[in-house]
Amino acid sequence: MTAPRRAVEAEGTSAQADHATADDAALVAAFLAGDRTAFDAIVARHQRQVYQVCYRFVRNHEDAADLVQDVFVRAFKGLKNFKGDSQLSTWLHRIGVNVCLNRVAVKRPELEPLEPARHVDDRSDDPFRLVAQGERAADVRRAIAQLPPKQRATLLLRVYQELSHEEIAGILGCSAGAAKANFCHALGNLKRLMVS
Amino acid sequence: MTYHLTPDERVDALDGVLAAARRDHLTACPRCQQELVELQDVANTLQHAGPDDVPEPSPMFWTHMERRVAAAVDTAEKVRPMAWWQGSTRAWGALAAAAVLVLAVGAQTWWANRAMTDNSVYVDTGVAADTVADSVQWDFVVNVLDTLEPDDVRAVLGPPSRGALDAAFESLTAAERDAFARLLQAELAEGSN
Repeated sequence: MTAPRRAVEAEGTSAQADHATADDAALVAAFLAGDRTAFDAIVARHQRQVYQVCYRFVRNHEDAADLVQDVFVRAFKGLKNFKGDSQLSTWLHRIGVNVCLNRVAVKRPELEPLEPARHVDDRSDDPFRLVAQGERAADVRRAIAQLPPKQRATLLLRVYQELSHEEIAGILGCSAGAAKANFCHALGNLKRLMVS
Repeated sequence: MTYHLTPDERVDALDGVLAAARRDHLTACPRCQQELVELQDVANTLQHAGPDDVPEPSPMFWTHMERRVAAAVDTAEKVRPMAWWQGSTRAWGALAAAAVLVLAVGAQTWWANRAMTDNSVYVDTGVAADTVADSVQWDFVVNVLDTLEPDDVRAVLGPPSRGALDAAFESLTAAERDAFARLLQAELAEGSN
């Protein structure tokens, strides 16, 4: 290996180490200053969280992976307009939810089968309880999948991503009161869907 | 206050942060209490259904995703949407070439005529005057085109008007069109290499 190449690689490794400890604001600043590796660090840091949001919308790995890619490409293009008045994670959530809502608008989520194959661990104390819980969870997921998109997004972000109403409002671009009202309507509709 | 809890207030009640004044109403209103009990039931159902764990992808997935995003971003960078004036590079190039050709042929024809009228060297070589004039014009055109960049031509001529290319081409003679076609083909061949 040549000395210049070693120097370049050493510099890259050093930058990666710096990015690993830098906070989101510093990564955004570095990216806007022209450091492309800072964006790679943003992807590495937030991809799991974005994947979880996307997976909860589409409930399959392949589509979720496609959506994650879409989210980060949009983030790359839009980062120069990121004002920094919200957390980067909230901003990425917002993109993720919008991408998912767009996706849901053109493609209905696949509903889970009524009798999903389940793996029961015989070594557990109460396999029957686990089966019952699994069935209940599948019922809930099926009902959530039938909610109107914004209610669904609100419910997923509140219950499973455990975000505050204010954070959800920031993601959905509405007031905290509207986010709470959305959540209330989502719970009401969920009840009706599970009863039916 | 006598009006019932609004949806957002019901959620506040569910979260245990309802304002004191509205708590008084809740305590006294069976309807709001019933609605809150129903919401609490659904919330409990969600809780008892267990966490909606997202299956963990394979350990290699995250590295793969980072590379995939990097590749997608590279592609997105390369295919950034072009501004309208960047959309027809070939048309711009052809128009610039046509304009330069017209100007060059006109100028050189004037120069050759003047030279022959002055009994200049062209006649003394013994070669037919027309051939010499064509050859010199051709060299002149090639030299001019070699030294011009499309951006330079654009700067001088300004943006093309609608139909300017057609008009410029129509003004060429058959020989000039042949020469123009050869030039374009050579440029395109060079560009594709």
